[in-house]
Amino acid sequence: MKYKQYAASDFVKDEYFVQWIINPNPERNFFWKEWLKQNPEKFEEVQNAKQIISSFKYKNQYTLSDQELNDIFHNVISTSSKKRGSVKLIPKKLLKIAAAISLIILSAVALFNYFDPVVLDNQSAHLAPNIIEKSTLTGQKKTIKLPDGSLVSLNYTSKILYPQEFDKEVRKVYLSGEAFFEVVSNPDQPFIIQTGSLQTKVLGTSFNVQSWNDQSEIRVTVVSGKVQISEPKGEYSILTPSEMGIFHKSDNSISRKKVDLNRHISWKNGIIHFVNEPLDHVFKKLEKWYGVKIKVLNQDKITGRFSGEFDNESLETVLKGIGFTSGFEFKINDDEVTIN
Amino acid sequence: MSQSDKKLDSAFAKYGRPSSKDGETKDYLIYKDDATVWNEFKSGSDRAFTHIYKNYANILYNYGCQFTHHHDLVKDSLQELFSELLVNRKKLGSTNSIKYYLFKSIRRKILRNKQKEDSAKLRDSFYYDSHFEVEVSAEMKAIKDILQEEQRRNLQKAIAKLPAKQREAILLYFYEGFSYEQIAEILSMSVVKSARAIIYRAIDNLGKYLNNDNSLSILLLMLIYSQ
Repeated sequence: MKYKQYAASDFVKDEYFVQWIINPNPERNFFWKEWLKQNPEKFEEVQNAKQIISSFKYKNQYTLSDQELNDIFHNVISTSSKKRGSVKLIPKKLLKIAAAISLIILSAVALFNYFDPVVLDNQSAHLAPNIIEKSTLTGQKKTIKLPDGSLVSLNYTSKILYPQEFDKEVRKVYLSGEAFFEVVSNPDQPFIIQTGSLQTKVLGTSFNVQSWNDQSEIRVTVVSGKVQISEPKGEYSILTPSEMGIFHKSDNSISRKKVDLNRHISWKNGIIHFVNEPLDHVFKKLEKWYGVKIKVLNQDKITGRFSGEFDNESLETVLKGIGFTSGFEFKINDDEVTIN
Repeated sequence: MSQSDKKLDSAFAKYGRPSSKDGETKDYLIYKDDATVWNEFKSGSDRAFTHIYKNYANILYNYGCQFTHHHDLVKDSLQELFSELLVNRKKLGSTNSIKYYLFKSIRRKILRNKQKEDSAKLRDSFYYDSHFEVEVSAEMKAIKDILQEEQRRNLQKAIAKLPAKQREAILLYFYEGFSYEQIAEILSMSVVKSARAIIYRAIDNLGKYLNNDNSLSILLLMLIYSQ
C-alpha cells in the first residue's frame, strides 16, 4: 500500500493522516494503529509528520465564558420557542461587581512573591512549576481566560504570567506591557496584578493597566468597579470609573486624574485612537500596532500633531487618512513603510 | 424566582445546561458517529442538540472571531445559527461531518452579517492583516526537534505574508482537520484542486523564506515537487 513508501512530508499532505492526528475517532484509530503495528519502521516518519502538523495554531484564540455560553444557549432556546422574531442578545453585562468594597491594606510581606521581576524577563526556564506565560508580539493582541474565569486582553508586546491554579487566599498575576482586565467578582479572593513595584488590587471589576519598561509611569484606568493601587512603602490610591491612577517610577508617588475612557480603552476593540499626538508618536504607535517598521525620509516634513480614530482599518487606510491631513505620502513594502 | 428564571430553569432541565461539568448531560453521544448524532437531532433529540452546541460553540466562536474584531457580531451569528438549526431541524439535510456543516454555515452567515453591518467600511477590510493569524509553535516536545527555533520564526513570518484566505486554508487543514474537499466547499471554491493548490502554494511560498540548510525546507520542497 502507498503508505509504506511515505516520508513525513507525504503524511503531512495526506488528509486522512492529518485528520487522524487532529480528530481521532474509533475508525481512524483502528486503521492507523493497526497499520503502525504492522509497519513499525515508519514510526519516526509518522512522529515527524505529527510534529509538523501540531505546530500550526491560531495565533489568537478566542473562547466564550461559561456565562456567555449559557446566555447564548438561553437565547437560542427562547427564540426558537417563539419560532420567529429577533431577540437581542442579553446586553453585554460586565461581570458582577462586589456590593461593598472594604479597605484592606495589604502588607507587602504577606503577599506571595513567586514573581521576581528581575529573574523573569529573560529566563522563563526558571519560572516556578505551573506558572503559565502568555505574551504578544508587535501587531498582535490576545485574549486570555484565567483559571477563575477572569478575562485579560493583552495588547501588543505584552506579557502576563499567572499560575495554573490560583491560590486559595489571593489571585495574583504579573504583567508587563498593557492589558485590559475583566475580573470575576470574589470578595474572599482578591485579585492582584503586579507591575514592577506597583500592585493593583481588585475584587471584581474591569480596568486597563499600562506598564511599559521604557516609560516612567505605570497607568491604571478603571472602567467599572473600584481598584486599589499601592506601592511597597504603603502609599495607595483607590480609583473609581473613568479615573486613571498614575504611579511615578522616579519617586514612587501616585497621582490620579479623570480621563476619557475611549482614548485609553478602545485599543482592545481594535480601535486606534489619537488625541493631538505628535506625528513621531503616531508612527511609533502604528509600528507596534501593525508590526511594521516606519522610515521617515524627510524629517522636516513631519511636524504637527494628529487627532483621529480608526476602527479596525488596514494600515494603508490609516496612513492614507493621516497623510491626507498631515501632508505626506507613503509606500508600503511588506512590513516596511517609507514616509516622504 | 422570576418568571424568566423559571422558564430558563425548565429549558435547561429539558436541554441540559451547556457548560455543566458534573456530567449532567452524560456524553453517551461521543460513541456515536456524526451522521447518527445529526439524525437524532433532526428527529427531535434535545440531548443531541445540546451535545452539538457544547462541542462546537467555542470552536465556531474562535473561528468566527478570526474574521472580525466585532465579537458581538460573531456571538449574534452563532446564536442565529443555532436558532435556525433548532427551528428548522426537520427540514435539514444529512451530514457525515457536523463540524464541516457548522463551519460552512457560520462562515456564510458571518460574512453576510459583516456586509450588512457596514458595507462601506468593510469593503476592503475583509482580509484585514490580522485575520487568521497563524502561530507556528514549539509546544510539541520531541526527542529530535524537527523545527528549529529560527526555522519556526521564519516559517511564522513567511505565513504572515500570505493572503488571509491562504492562512485560513492552512488553519482549516492543519488545525481544524478538514479534508481538501471540505476546505474547498467551506471557502466557496468551485474546484477541489484549488484547495489543494492553496495549501501547496502556501507551502511553496514558505519554501522561499527558509534557510538553505535545514531539513524542513527539504521537506517542503519535496512537498512542492511531488504533486
